[in-house]
Amino acid sequence: MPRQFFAMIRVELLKVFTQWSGIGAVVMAVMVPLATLFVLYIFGGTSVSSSVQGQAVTSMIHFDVVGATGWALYARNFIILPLMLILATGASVAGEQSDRTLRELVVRPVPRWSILVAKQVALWALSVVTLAVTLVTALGLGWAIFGAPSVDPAVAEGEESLVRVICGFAVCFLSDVALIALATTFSTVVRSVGGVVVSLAVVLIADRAVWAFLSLLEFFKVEWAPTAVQFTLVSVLGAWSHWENEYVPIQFLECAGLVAAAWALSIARFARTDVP
Amino acid sequence: MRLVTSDVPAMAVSGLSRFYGKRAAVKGLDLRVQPGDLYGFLGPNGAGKTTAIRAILGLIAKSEGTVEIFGDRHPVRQRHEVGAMVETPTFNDWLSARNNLRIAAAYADRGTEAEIDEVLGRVGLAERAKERVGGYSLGMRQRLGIARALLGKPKLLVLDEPTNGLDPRGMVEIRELLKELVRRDGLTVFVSSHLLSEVEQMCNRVGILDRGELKAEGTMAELIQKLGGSVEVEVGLAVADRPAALGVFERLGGVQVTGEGEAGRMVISLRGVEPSEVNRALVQAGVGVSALIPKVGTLEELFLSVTSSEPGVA
Repeated sequence: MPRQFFAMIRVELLKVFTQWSGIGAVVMAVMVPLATLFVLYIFGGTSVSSSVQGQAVTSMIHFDVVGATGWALYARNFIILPLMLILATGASVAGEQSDRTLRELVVRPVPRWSILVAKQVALWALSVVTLAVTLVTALGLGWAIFGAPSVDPAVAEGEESLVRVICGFAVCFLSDVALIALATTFSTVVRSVGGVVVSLAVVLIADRAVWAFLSLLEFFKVEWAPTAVQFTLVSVLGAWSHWENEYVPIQFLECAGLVAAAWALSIARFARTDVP
Repeated sequence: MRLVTSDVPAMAVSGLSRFYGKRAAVKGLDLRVQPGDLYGFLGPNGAGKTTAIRAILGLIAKSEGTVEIFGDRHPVRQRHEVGAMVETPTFNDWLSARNNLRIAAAYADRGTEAEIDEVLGRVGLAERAKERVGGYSLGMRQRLGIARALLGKPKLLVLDEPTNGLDPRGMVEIRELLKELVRRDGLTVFVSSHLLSEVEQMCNRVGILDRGELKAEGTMAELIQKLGGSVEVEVGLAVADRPAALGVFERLGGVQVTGEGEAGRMVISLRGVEPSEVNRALVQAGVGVSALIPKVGTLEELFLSVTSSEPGVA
């Protein structure tokens, strides 16, 4: 690790949190829970008569601070924030290659891999900040709208649910780390931010199609399908989504494997790249 | 521990080649830049200068060859001693000049806030350090690029076309700055250019690259001598000093008076003698020298004689 590694992280943080993708991600991290709670508030304040299989829709949605925060987590991971993270990652590596600012770092006395790692750490910080902003906004606003979470197990799931949803946010950080690592790998191959977004989107859509096909096989009781579906990117990157029930331990291992593989590929590729 | 002695070249490039497929952008490049040199890396557009500089700095992989900076071959460690500017400098445009320099300082593990102030002042941007670089003119970006290269007091500056985009005043200022860095700060400067007059006015050693190959290298006098030519210089002397000057020329050997130049200056032809030697000898002999001007066109003739008229390869 170069001696100046922490200084490198500090300036990468400066870049990430001052460029439009980073600022956009933080703004979205505020907007998403606001929009989520607004929708829940409208639903909660309205008597919704519709039902599914004889069960009222309102009974399926937790109209309390914990439920609202959980919904904010779902909303946070629905396209916008992952897209902002991919954009920030693309801007940090591929964007700097295309606008040729990366060469100013490569000519410095630091190994190339350390540049990638410093950028990763700054992007992790962006993930942590967006998660924290979403959590605090959702909890604060949810508390104001729905009142404090109940601690009486007879009334609601109470503190245990609050802990679960906070754990969900923490696990979501791991999913973000995997997504950032994946986007970094694409950034070392594709030399434009748009190219990174499009190519990664194509891969994720293709993966989603595979996941849907495997789920169909699972439905038809094909023996190996449940195991295979665990290895799709949807499944690996969606480890956080089990916050309401039980986490699947193998997904964490797969997440770690994905990060390790993506890093190895990125570092190997970046070491051989001609920097324009 | 690396031992740096005066006989260790500031930069030694041996057999450097870079191929794109079968095409050689740089082929078997050998360069030696001595400490204290202001080395002009000259070549027509597309000669391979930028490719060579990028390979030297580790931006692109070398197909063959080695690069030593002050005797160090380690690709990362050797960059501690190098400040560089490749092509038009690029910046994070949404950040201020100062923040851009902070980024460079962090990666270089050098450069305090005081040093940032110093280099900004040196290139005349101290007053505008807080402005976003996106609003800078090309000339200001060029100056900021030089400031960034100077950050952390490197021993060797590698600059690729540093006066590109500058107005004539800016070009003169940068030339003077580079000369001062060599003279006052003891830096070694390796500067590429396709501008003959710039190299002629600024550099003590020259390498001429054409179609990826080094065609000639040495001091101006050496190069011209190698090609069987001579250097023409106009010398400004008082009329009364002329007999003494002729005596000095005779003692030096290799100096021939060839005619009368502008403003009554004497035109002399030098073969195997540096203009600086003539100046020194005249001053030592008590002859007042009011001007010593290499005749424009000397390097141009040399350049044209060693470079191809066909389009470049890189």
